[in-house]
Amino acid sequence: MSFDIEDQYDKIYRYCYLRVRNREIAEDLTQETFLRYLEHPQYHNIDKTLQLLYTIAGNLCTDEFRKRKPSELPEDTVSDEDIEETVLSSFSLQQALDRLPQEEREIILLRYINEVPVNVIGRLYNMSRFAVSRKIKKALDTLHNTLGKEELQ
Amino acid sequence: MKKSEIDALKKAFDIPEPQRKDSFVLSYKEKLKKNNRKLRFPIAFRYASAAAAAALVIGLWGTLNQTIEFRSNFDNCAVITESTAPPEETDEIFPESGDDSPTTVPDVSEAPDNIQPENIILPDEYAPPAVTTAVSSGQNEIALISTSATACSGEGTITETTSAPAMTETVNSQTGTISVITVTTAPSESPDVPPATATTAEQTETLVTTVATEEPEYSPITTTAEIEFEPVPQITTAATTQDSQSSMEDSVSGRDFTVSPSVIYTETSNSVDISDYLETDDSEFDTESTAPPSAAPENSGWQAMACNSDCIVYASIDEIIYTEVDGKPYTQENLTIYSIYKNDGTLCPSDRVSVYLPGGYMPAEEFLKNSNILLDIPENSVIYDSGGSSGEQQVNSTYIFFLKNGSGSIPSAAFQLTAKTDVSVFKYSNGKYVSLGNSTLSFTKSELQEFLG
Repeated sequence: MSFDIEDQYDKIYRYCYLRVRNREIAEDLTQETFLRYLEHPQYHNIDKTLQLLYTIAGNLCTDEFRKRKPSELPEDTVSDEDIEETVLSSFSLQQALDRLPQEEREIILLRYINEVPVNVIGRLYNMSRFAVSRKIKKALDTLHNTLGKEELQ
Repeated sequence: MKKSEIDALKKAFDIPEPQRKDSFVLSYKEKLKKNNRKLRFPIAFRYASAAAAAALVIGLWGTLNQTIEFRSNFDNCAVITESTAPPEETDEIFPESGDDSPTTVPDVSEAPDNIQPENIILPDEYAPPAVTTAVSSGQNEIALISTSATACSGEGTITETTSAPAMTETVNSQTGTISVITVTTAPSESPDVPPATATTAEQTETLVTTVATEEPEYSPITTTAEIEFEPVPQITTAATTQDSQSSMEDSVSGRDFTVSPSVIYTETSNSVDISDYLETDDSEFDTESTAPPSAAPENSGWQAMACNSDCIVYASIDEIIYTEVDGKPYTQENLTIYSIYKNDGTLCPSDRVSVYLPGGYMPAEEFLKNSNILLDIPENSVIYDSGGSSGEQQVNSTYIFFLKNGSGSIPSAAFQLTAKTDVSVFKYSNGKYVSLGNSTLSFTKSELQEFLG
């Protein structure tokens, strides 16, 4: 199965960034993901390209976490320039997202930002697609409850 | 989720745009092109492998063909080599020695009185080749069997030549002895040849290292028999003992193309003739309706029937079997072909074939099950249906058959009569061949040959 590299590059990058919270590292991991994908042509024709890409990216992010020293802080957790904009635009939604568990945050990103099918998400997180749907619904309810329906829109 | 909500989520995740995307995408596409190139072997390798594969297939096919042909003729022997020579007017038959003891070969010249040779006319292309086969069994015996089928001349006479002596050499390595048996045979009907002789000589020597055996001296005895065409031809050579007889018949008989019927019904004397119950001609079980309407050989004479036939053979009926085809009674006749007047290229003299013709015996229960006729017949009785034939054909009698290849539910390896009934079967009577089903149809042998060209 072939894919559009320009489209998938952005999606894998977002997924990596969400996990490592560092633009440079996220981009390195994204490129490493595609290079490793090229090294395994035997998997290219089994119609599981998306799952393979996200699995490689997830493993690379996990490796990156293990390499980090505990004292290091994420690069852009607090940025002076963005404070005002964040406060004005989506400060409350970002806070609400930050309160979600990491797994639910990743699932929300994969499903609604990267538009990954539910069954692929289920295979990535080793759960059924019904469990994925329940998790998505639970995360959205939490966001609605925290912000109110109007604010989310 | 709505688009506005998704946009809000994107904003909330606050993910910066990647900076090195374009350069990586370009390099990635180049790498992808390199990876997609297929590895192609040099053209010489590809042609060499194709030739090797073709040679392997041809070799396997040839081996398989030889094996099948051999087994059909000699089921009880293990053949190692087989060579074929051009047709000769020589007929040598050496029965295989079955044990280590010296064997007395029966005198084949002592033929029973009922064997009458025949003047058989055969085209030259039907002359079977002489075959020499070396047979080696697992008991350290070496026996040379030389067999040639009867060669046929094209001028109305058949010359059957028996060449003798034969030498069967049996070596027993366990006992270290060698037994040499010399057998001389000659036909009895030859006036110029002394009476049949069967000489058995046994020589026993102790083998130490090398055994040198003298070449057997052959002094062929030729017998020429010119025989009339009718009445009953006999091709097989009779012998005095049962074993020798069967082995010799196998060696001269042709291929067996007979088929096994799906079911066999037995003939009974108290059968019920179905024609007695069918008053009208347009009943369902009217066998005339099965004949092809366009052929109408009965009305067009035997010439039209000859044109519609695939094969015309002179053969004797070996066996008559009552069976069924599509639930209707049929009769299977197994024939041994003596001569061929018209051929589709599949048959040779001495071949055995099966012919299906409608009608025969069938249990009433089976008959009523497969037909819509309501008859007041006891279920335990046996139905006889003539199938439109006269029913005059008999086992061990010879006729000229006009045959077509089997079609429909009839086995494809079998034949059917051209006219479906015994109108296509001709019996020799008063110098002519007369149709069994229609006595107005008749011809002589020369007329048939002249018509067929």
